[in-house]
Amino acid sequence: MEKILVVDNHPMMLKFMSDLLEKKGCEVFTALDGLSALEILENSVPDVIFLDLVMPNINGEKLCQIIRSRPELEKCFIVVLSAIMAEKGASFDVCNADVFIAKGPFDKLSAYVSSVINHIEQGEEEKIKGHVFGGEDLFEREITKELLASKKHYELTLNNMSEGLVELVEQSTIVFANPAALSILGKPEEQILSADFTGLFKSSDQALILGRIAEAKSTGKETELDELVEIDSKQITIKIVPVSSQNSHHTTLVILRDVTQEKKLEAQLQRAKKMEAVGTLAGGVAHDLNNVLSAIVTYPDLILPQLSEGSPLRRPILTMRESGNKAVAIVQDLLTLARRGVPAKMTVDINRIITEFLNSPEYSKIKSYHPEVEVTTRLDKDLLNLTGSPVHLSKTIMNLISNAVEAIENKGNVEIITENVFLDNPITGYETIPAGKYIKIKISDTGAGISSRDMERVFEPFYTKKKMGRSGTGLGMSVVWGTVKDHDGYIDIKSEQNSGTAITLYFPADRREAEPEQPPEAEEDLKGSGESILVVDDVREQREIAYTLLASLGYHVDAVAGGKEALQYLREKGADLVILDMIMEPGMDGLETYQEILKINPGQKAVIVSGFSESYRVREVRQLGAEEFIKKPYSLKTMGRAVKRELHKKVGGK
Amino acid sequence: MQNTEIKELADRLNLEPEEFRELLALFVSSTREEIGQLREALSENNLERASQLVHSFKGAAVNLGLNEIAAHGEKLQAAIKNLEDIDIESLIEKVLYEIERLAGYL
Repeated sequence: MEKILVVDNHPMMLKFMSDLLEKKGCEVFTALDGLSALEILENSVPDVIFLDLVMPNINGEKLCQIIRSRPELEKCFIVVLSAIMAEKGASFDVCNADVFIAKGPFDKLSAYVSSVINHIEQGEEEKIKGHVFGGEDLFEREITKELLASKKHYELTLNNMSEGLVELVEQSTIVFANPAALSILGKPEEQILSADFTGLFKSSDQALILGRIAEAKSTGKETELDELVEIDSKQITIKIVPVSSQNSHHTTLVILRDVTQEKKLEAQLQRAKKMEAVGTLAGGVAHDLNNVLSAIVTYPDLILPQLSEGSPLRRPILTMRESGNKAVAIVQDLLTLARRGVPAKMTVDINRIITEFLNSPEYSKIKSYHPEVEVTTRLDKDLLNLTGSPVHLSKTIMNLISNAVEAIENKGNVEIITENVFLDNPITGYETIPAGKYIKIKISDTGAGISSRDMERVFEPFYTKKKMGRSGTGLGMSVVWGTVKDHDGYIDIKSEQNSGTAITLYFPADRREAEPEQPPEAEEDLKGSGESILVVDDVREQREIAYTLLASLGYHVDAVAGGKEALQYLREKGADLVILDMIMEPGMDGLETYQEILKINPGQKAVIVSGFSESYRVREVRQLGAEEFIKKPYSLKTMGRAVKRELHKKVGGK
Repeated sequence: MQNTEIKELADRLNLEPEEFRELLALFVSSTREEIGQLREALSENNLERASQLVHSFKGAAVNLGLNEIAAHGEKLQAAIKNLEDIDIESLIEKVLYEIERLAGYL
C-alpha cells in the first residue's frame, strides 16, 4: 500500500485526488499549502508526493527544494500537478520533480495519475521519470505567462534589495525569505523555510522579538526593535510590519538590516573624534607647560659650571635637570598629539630607524629588564621610503618595540617585519584601510595581549596598563596614533589575551631615496664675541632665561616684551640679531613683528623660538629670511648653536 | 434527483454522478468565495491577486469540464489585464450566474 501526500490549495482537487487514490488502496494525506505539507512530512515519509506549483505559504517550487534537501525524504517520488508548467518549460532543474502532470479535465487527470501509480506499484518508476503527462492540453499559456512576468518583477526587486525580507505566518513560522535575509540569517533557504523565526536568535532575544511580533499583530501597526540583536556575530535591526487583508492570510513581514559595518564605522569615527579632542586639550596644556619648564631645564646648565666638583649641590641639580628633561619628553609627546605642529617632510627609511633603535642604549636598557625575550627582524631590503618626520617616526617605532618587549612577562618572541604591500581591496580591521600601495610595518609579540575592553581605549593618553615610573610617559600609544595620522597612515591591531598582540602600521609609499644622515657634529665653540642681541618674548621668565643664557655666552643682550617695543628698540638702537618668540599675546605675533622689522632693517638676522613644532607661520618667517628656528624649552647648546649659525650666515644668501 | 446535465458532465469525466456532485459542491463553494475575494482585490487594485483568483477557479472549471465558466474566466483575465471595468463586472456576473445555476442542481 503506497503512502501518498497531495498538496493543492483547491479543496476540490484534494477531494478528487484522495477519492481516486483511496480507491486504488493508497493511504492519502492532504495539505492545502506548502507549510501544512511540511508539518505532515515531519511525522511521516510518503512514497509519492503530488503537489501544485501555485500555493500560498511556501509554493510548490520551494517545497520541492526543501523536500530534496532532506535526506530522510530522499526516496519520495515527486509529481508536480500544475497548469503552469508549460510556461516554465517544464523545467525539471528548477523543480527537481520526477514527473509532471498537466492539470486538465478529471477524466484525463485520472488516467495520468493512475498511470503514475501503476508504474510505481510495479517498481517501474524509472520508466516515467522526467515524463510530462498531458502537456498538449494546456490552453492558458498566454495569461499564465503574464502572471509569471509580474511575479518576476517582484522577484527581481526582492532578490536585489539589501534589506532582508522575511514573511511569517502563524506565530513566527517562515514561509518566505529573500536572498538578503538568507545571507543575514546565515542559512540556506531549505533550512530557513518552515523554520521558526524567533528560534534563530539567542534565547535572550527570543522573548523580545516574539513580544514585538505580537504587539504589531494586535495594534496593526509596524514596530521596530529598540535594540540591536545579534545573529552569527552580525548586528541587525528588526522591523516588523503586520499585513492583514480581509481575504488574504494574516502574515507578518520582518525587515532585517545588517548594521555591523555601520556600527563599526560609527565607533571608528567616535574614536577618531575623541583622539582629536584629547589632542587639542593636550596641546593647550603643553604650550603653557613648556614655558614653565624652561626654567627647570635651562638653569641647571647655567648653575653647574659655576659649582666646584665636590659641591653638595651638584647631585640635586643634576637630578633636577634629569627630571626636567623627562618632563620635556612628556610635553613633546603631548605636542605631537596635539598635532598642531606639521611634521618635517623628509624622506625616511623605516628599516634604518628600526636598526638604529635596536642598536641604541635605550633599547639595551629595556632589553636588560627582559633578557628572555627574543627579538627577530625580517626587514624588506627593497622597502620603499616614506615622507615625514624622522623624529616622530623613530618615536613611534621605539614605542611599539618597547611595548612589545614589555608585554612579555618571561620568555617570548617579538617579531618586526617590514614589507611593501599592495592592497587590492580595503581592509576592515581596527580601521578601514583603503586599497593602495603601502609600507607595512608589523610588530608582533607573544605577550599578554589586550582585552577587547582595553582595545577601544588603547590609544587614549594616560590609558596604560604598565607600571608607571619604569618606562613611558603614558602617552606612547597616543603618540603612535598621532604620528600615524600625521603621516596619512593607518593602524591595525590584532590581539588575543594571553597569546599576543600584533600591531601593523600602513604608510602610503614613497619612491624617493632617504636623506643622508647628518654628519656628527664636532665639539663646537658656542661663545659669542659681544654681538648685540634683542630678545622678544611676552613671558617674563622666558626673557630672563634667554637673557642669562646668551649673556653667559658672551653676547650683549637686551629684552623686550612685545613686537611694538621691539620695533621701537630696533629703530633707536638696532641689534645684530633678534630672538623672536613666535606666539605672543596680545599684539603682533612673531611673523607680523618680523614683517615690520624687515621694513626698518631689510636683512635683519633673527632666530625664531616657539613651543610648537614648525607651523606654517614659522615657515613663512623662515622664508622671509630668519632661517634658524629653535623649539622651547631650549638648552644652552641649541640656543648657542642657532645664534651662531644665524650670525655667521652669508649676508644676502637665504 | 438526477439531472441530465449532471449525468452528462459526470459521464464525460468517467465519474459517478454522486462523486461529480460532491466535487461540484466544493467547486461552487470555493468559487463563490474566490469571487468575493476577487471583488476585494479589484477594489484594492491588487491585479496580481485578482489574476491569481481567476486562474484558480478557471483551472477548477477546466477540471470539471465546465467549459463555459473556463471561457468566461479567460476573458476575465484579459479584461483585468486591460483594466476594462465594464467587461470585468459583466463577466463576473456571468460567472456567478453559471455558478448559481449549477448550485441549483446540488
